[in-house]
Amino acid sequence: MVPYTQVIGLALILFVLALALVLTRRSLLALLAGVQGVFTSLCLALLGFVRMHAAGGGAVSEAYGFALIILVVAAAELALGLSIGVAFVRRRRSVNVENASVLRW
Amino acid sequence: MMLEAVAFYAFACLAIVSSGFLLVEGRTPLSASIALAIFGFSVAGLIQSLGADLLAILQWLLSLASVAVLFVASLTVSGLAEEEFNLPPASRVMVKLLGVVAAVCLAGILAWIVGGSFGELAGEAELPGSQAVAISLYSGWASPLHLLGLLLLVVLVGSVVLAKQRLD
Repeated sequence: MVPYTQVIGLALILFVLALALVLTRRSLLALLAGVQGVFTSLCLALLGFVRMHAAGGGAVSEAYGFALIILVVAAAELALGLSIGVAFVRRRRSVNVENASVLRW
Repeated sequence: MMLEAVAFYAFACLAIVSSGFLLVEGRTPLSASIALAIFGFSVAGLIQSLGADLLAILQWLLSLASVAVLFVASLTVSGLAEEEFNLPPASRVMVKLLGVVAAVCLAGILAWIVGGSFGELAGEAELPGSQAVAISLYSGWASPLHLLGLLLLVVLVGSVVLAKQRLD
């Protein structure tokens, strides 16, 4: 059985990589991919903490409901973000997020 | 048990490599979409290898949907995206150097986690099956589940309104 510390460590590595993607890229699509990676690594970290909690004898069924909420929020964020991105590209003819300097136009 | 550990480490390597590719070399929307697909599927495999079947299935579906939507969006903005996905040539060398340093640091952290005494297991963890999760979802989590459905409906309508041709 894989130790939960390795699961949490792997989630940490994936989170750092996804966060670096968000911080270094200026393309809207790359940003959305990075945010998706952040949510996915968070879900994996939650699973690692669930295993840690289960190793201590606690009930873990509720944590799965919380992980389900994270996954659904990630899907909602991606769908809405891409819709905003398509509207942004139609107006500005660019995918560079530095062109989005105002919150409303 | 052995197969589970092998699958976990294989999917972990695949997830790290694909996210690293997405970070360093994912310059075109197509290659970024493919790297994101491999990343999502490898995380789904990771979750499956950890024994959380329901979450693994949901992650599979989410990966498939997100990659399909991202690919369609990249086709929508094709031509624009390929130019602006690229970094300027001067900063590309610096980013690659920083990437090598970060990769060495991450490999060190991974070796420390896998090889050190940090990886000792406190006890065998019993994860709940799908039936226990379903009972939990439809008893204590019933209200959040309905709110999630409402949220998805709002997102569906909002996405259609935002992405249509005329906003006014």
